[in-house]
Amino acid sequence: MEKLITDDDLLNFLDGMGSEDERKNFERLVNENQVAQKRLRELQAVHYFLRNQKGIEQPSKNFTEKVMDRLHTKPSFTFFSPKNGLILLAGLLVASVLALMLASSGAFDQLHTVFSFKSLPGNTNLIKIPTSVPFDIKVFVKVFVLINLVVGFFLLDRTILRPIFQKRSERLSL
Amino acid sequence: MITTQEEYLLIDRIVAGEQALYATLVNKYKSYAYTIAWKIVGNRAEAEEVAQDGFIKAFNYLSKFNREAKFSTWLYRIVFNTAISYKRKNRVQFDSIENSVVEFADRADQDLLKEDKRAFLAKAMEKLSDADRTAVQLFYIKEFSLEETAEMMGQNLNTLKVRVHRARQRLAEELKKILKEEALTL
Repeated sequence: MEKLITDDDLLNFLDGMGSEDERKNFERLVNENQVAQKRLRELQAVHYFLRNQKGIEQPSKNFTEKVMDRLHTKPSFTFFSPKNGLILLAGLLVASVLALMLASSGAFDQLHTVFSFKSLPGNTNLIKIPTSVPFDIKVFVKVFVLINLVVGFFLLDRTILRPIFQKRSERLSL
Repeated sequence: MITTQEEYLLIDRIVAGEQALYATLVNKYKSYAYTIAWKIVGNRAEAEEVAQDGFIKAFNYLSKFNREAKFSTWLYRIVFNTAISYKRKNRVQFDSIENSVVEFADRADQDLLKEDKRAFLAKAMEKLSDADRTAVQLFYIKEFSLEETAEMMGQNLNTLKVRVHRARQRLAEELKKILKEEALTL
């Protein structure tokens, strides 16, 4: 019965793993197994392709000078590109305006509830917890709008204002 | 060639204010940093900018370099992460390999040149995940050990081995799909 030869075995063989004896033994096993031979040729094709790829690339001749010149500037790739920042900012503003419009039109006036903790198990003598907490959706909307505005200001600063002022100061310093 | 100890002394002096000395480190590691960036972003101009950004980030965080790893590994990891985030933001939609098959199936001679096959494999590489492709490409740069590559990519050794094996298996499958028996004569 033919011994099962896995892809891992074949790849390890291609990577030159194992002692000389082990490799010879493995080669013999592969030669006796047509399926393994075919698979080895397939993996070999990939192996040679990858091995023949270019190794170390050289950057431009003035690479070091460019780095040294840019040492005190911010890296050019920030987390948010101006385009993505603007889209996110617009989304935040639309969500905030919608939430405020709904709140001011009284859409949330009837939406309030009370969370009751009376049914919670446990000894309430040891830990003092309130028996109920009122929940008003209007407060939730206000907090939502406030968070949106804070994030919005942060985005405005990072993606639009800072790059503009940075470019202006770079222009002036030239 | 400077030793690791000399390199640490150099870093101390740069952190202390002798910033011009950073050029020594840039000169020493620029080729590898650029190669890593190029392998990931696949474009020379962008790779150059990514590698430069990597060096600038490394300079800004140099005082935080804790010397648990070699400086080169730490630097390459920064370049690797910079390139990956750059690639994510500028993802290019590559033509599917299936389209290429149709294109070449129309050719009457079916006698594909080696260059064509290489081009197919290069396209097949694009179908791999960023992490798998980078793992296999860095693995085949003989100058990087498997351990160093794993550290650079922030992965453990076994995960990296699995990635490299999986990437090659996937490439072999793609190659089979694309070229059928032609693959065997590559």
